[in-house]
Amino acid sequence: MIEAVNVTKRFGDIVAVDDVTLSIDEGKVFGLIGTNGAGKSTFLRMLSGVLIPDAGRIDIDGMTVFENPVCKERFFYISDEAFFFLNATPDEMERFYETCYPEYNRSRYEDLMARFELDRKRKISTFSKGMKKQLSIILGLAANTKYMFCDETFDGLDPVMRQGVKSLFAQDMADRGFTPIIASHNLRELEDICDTVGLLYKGGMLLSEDLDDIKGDVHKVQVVFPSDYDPAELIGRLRILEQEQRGSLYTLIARGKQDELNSTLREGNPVFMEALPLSLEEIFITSTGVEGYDIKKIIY
Amino acid sequence: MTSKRSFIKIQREDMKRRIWPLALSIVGFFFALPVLALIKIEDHISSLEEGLDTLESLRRSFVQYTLAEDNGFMVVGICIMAVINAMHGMKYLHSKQESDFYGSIPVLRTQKFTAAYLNGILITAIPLIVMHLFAALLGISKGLVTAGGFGLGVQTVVILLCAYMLIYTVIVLAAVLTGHGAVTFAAATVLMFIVVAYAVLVETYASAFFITKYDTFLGENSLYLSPVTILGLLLWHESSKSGGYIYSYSTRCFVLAAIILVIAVALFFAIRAIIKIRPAESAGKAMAFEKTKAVIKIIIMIPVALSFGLLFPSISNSGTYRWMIFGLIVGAILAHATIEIIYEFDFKACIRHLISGALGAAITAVIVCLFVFDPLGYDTGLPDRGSVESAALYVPGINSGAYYVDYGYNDYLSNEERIMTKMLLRDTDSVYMLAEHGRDFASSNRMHMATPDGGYISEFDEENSSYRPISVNLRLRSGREFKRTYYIDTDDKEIYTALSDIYDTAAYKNEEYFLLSSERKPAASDIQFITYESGYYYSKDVHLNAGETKKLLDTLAADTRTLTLDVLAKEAPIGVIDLNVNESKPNRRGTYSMEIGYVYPSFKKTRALLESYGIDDGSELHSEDVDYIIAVKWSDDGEDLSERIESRAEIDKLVPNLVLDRFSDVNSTVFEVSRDINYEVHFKGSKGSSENYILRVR
Repeated sequence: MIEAVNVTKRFGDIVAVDDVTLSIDEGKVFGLIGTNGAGKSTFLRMLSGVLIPDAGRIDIDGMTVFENPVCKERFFYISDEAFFFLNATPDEMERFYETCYPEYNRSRYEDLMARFELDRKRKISTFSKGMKKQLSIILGLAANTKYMFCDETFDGLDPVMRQGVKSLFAQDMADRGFTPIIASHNLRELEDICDTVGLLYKGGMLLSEDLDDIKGDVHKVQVVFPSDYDPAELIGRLRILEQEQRGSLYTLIARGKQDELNSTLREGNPVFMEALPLSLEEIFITSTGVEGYDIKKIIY
Repeated sequence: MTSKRSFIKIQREDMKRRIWPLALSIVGFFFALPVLALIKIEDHISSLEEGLDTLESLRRSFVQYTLAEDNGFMVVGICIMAVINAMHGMKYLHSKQESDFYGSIPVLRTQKFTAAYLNGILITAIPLIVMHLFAALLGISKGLVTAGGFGLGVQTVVILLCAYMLIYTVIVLAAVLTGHGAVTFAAATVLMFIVVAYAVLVETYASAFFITKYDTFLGENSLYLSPVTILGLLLWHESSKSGGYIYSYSTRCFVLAAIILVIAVALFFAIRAIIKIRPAESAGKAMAFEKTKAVIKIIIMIPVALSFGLLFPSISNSGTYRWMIFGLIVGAILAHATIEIIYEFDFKACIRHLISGALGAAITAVIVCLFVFDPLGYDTGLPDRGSVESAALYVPGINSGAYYVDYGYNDYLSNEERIMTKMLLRDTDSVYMLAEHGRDFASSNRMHMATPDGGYISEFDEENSSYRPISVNLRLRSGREFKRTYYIDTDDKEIYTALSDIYDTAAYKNEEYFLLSSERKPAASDIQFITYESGYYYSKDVHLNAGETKKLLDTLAADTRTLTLDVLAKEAPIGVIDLNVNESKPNRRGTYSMEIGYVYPSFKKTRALLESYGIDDGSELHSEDVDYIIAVKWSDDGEDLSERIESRAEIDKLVPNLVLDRFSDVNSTVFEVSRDINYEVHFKGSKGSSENYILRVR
């Protein structure tokens, strides 16, 4: 389990991460969402022991991360601009990582390199951006660590690759309780991968919840009531997050259980009622209650 | 990952990333040692075959120029490799990507740093040692390297590696304290020379403003404050040489090398501690630690401002305080602005952090005031009379020009150094009185005498023409020495009497005239021949036997003992005796020629002895010997106003006041001449030649 308590990091006058408290359970994919400059990379760099928090603490499995090799053996960090040695080939990088990670699995590396059709003898500097990201993920998976911290790693991967990586993650999660933490500025990139999402906004954590809980708790319904019925009182009893009326058609986004929502609305004898699928974007917009450019930029 | 085995793996992995510096080191030292050795061997064998040189000489030459200190390629190679290895080994600290990479893998920062640091040493040391051995073997195979020569080469490598460790570690420190390669280079330059710069500036300001300053505060010792200059000192200063060839390094040299090594190791552990707290986010920035910025800026600002404070007065030729203040302000502003721009990589940053800039300027101003106004009393202070145990007095204007050369020894002291160090005047009252007088004069005149360009105001000298410099060393009971140079008024009767009393003591004369010193007086048997010189044109070599030489030395010593200050005020020397020492004597290497003593007109016994040895002592000038005199003088416009004096009456009037130009300044403290006119005296008959004279004025 990863636990960050009141973590703050400043760069001069800029507060990059502001009093963030967060806990990440094992065996789930955690998505860290935020705009550019929201503090995702800084948070991951602290999580991986690169940066020292100015305040607060970060523990991984009960161990302090900074300058703790035993703790660092439990995770693999892929930064937004992954580093490879000058003129190195994948095999050379692999040999380096093998000296660092005690559980390193060479056969896994060889297998994944073959599966992703990456040339092990070719200079990495000649790889495309996407290929470098694939290589980083392969090396990370071969390191056989419990956690993997990916900073914008999925941005730039084509859908097929994303799907392939997703299935690899799923396999490792099932096999050994693998826990990937993926930071991205694009919610859509994470929607189909993550189990839990944390939203960073201007250095602070707006929310951190299971996607299923979020999705199970927020619902969208379109409903038409009889013309002589005033639904104001009925709607007022609901925990409405967003409400729109076009003629007699009400579109409601409300918090609560679907059954309870439906039964309440049925009290008004609606002539039409339909539950609509709710995208993660809409859930975020409504559930955070934050409006404006920045939050929309997270999503779109 | 904390086991020894893991560390070796980390080190091996680091070495894999250091291939090009390693290749450069191997290739560089290959050319600097074995290839150079082959070239030298070819040259030396050719010289030997042609009989141009002896085998012993060629052996020394080969060792010195290939395996030891004068192999400049090897010495420069060490310095270059220190820069390359430090910059390349620590570049991971300056890249965000690499910082993230190494910061996140399960390797302690200190382990990664230690691996990189040690590899930086191995990359230089192993190729150097191997190539040095290779070159030595080449020399041995041709008989040019003996066991002694090989040992000297090994010693050189040890010294070089110690110096390398310090230079390399200091650059590593610069890399750790900064976050950018270019700034590292600048910081390394600052670290290398900042202490020397401070020492030089303190010395220069003290020389400019402390008018009683004697000698240097640190002198050559300031060169021990830079890792680069200390390398030069170890190799070229701390070695015993003869005939230009090194014989051995001194014990002190190895002690210094060991100290350097200890400092480098201590510095390494300090840097290792810094690495633990070094923020990774500093990669790409100028400085690693925000809090050090102001301190480092001030440390650099001060010497820059002080340098500018001296620069403008020296350019202006007027040496005024106005230009010094202008320079100080300009220097402080420039240093502040430049450093802030470098810190932020932003030109607009030049006006930021003005408070720390102002603090640097204020500290600079305080330092300048310490020199200009002397609040600590360097010029105006004297130790308590009762605290003085003994004293030494050096009067540059007495017996000046006599020299005692012993270049074969490392502990050579000049006449002045020896007097100030060894003269032991127990009756200190007279010296103290002179010091008090000099101190009072300095107190009341220091602001007029000192100028920011280190010069003196010429009008001041004209107004105080009777003032002459002396140097005193008051040795205190506490063991401290108080050395100052003062100006004393030689027209003052009290001062003249005090000076005369000191001059008459055996303690003074024995040090001033080394012929009177049993310790330094050369043995007559060592003397190959003597040379007697009178004026510019008369010189005669005479080979005497040991008995004759001893008699001459004893007689000259006896006559010298009779000298008084009154005699010096009345008489100028008429000749000087040089001793030429047999240079083949054991333990006396090099050339010897000692100008041991002046002959005065009143030295009747010495002159008689010289005459008995067939030497014309030049004697006094007699008007009847003079054919004519040319008074050489020039107008201010450069017009030749010389005139020929043939009138007997004029010659008779002039001659008693003429003294040999060559010896006219020997006792300038008490014997004054006029340099407005030079007199070219042409002799009659057998003398038939001319000599330059000058007119005495008192």
